[in-house]
Amino acid sequence: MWFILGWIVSIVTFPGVIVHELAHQLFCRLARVAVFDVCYWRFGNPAGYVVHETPRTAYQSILISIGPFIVNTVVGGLIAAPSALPVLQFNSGTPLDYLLIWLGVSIAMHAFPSTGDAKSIWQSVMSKPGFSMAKVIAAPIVGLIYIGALGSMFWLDLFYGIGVAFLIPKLLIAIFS
Amino acid sequence: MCSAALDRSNIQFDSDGIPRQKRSAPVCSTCGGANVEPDYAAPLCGPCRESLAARPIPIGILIAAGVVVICMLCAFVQFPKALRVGIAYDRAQRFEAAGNYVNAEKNYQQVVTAYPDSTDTLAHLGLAAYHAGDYDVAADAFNKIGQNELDNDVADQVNAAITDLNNKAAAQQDPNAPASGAPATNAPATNGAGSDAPASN
Repeated sequence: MWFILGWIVSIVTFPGVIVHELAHQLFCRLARVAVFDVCYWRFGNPAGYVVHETPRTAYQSILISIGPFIVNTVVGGLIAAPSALPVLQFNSGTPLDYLLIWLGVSIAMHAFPSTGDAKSIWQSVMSKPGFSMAKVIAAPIVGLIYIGALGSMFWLDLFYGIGVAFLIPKLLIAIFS
Repeated sequence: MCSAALDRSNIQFDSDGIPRQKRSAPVCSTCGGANVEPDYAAPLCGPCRESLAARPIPIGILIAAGVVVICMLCAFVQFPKALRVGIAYDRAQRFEAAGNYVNAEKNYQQVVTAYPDSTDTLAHLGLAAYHAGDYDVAADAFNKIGQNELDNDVADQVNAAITDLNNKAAAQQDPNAPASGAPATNAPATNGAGSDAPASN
């Protein structure tokens, strides 16, 4: 039941998967890390992936792994936020508003890095012996990724996407009014 | 490919047949070139790494990304209006709560201009205008609500205001009735809190 539901969500929110993998690829390009294979969307688990070489530095690894979190959150929020107000607050949404909300929530809910990303950071950072700042930065990030992955079993990613779409305009209004 | 030119007499081989020189100096796993970049896990030369890092994006994915960018532009165009109206609504609510009905009415008016079908905003505009003594605007706003649903609390307030506006209008039309002093010239087309009063949910 949950498996089928997960598949349906993956199909319905496919733009988010594409943006997630594109963000991985973009950050690989920025970090000059070789990409061997990319799948932007497919039926299956994971719904998309980017196979790349082990980055030269731990910071590159962190950047590539959390890049989609930044990109998906910003893009999803920017797309959905202006349409969230007329739909939620004023019950005056147009079909374009609903389209933008679907797209924005779809993109934002796929912001969470996967456990594969967490493993990639862990391997890259912890493989080097001794103390480093990268380890101090990476450890909580890896922890948060695993918490996010655990939360995704209870639709935390969906709630995150909805939160990004609907809370950002509320926050902006509270700041500017 | 050019094995004919290779002089094998000076090359030392390991037991597995791989030249010892090759073990000590790795070659690019893509092009076989000797200039493998150091400090990387994958043995790749500079141009091959550049090429793989800048792996081309399929045309279909580029089109999808273009659609997302177009949607972002649409959202950008809508954003100032949405933010301005949201701020106006937030201010209106605060003015209304503070009893500053004139400013509340002004701000609700901005919202209704942008979203004329917003039932809740029309109700609040009507109430703010009613309390500010702007009965024409109040009556007009209440008429536009029609049979749309409102929160119980707001619906009760609207019904009470409609009843009062109707009483004022009736008093003005009847010359023998005691003067109410209210210039309610355009009361809503409802009869008290009767059939045309907004429904509550």
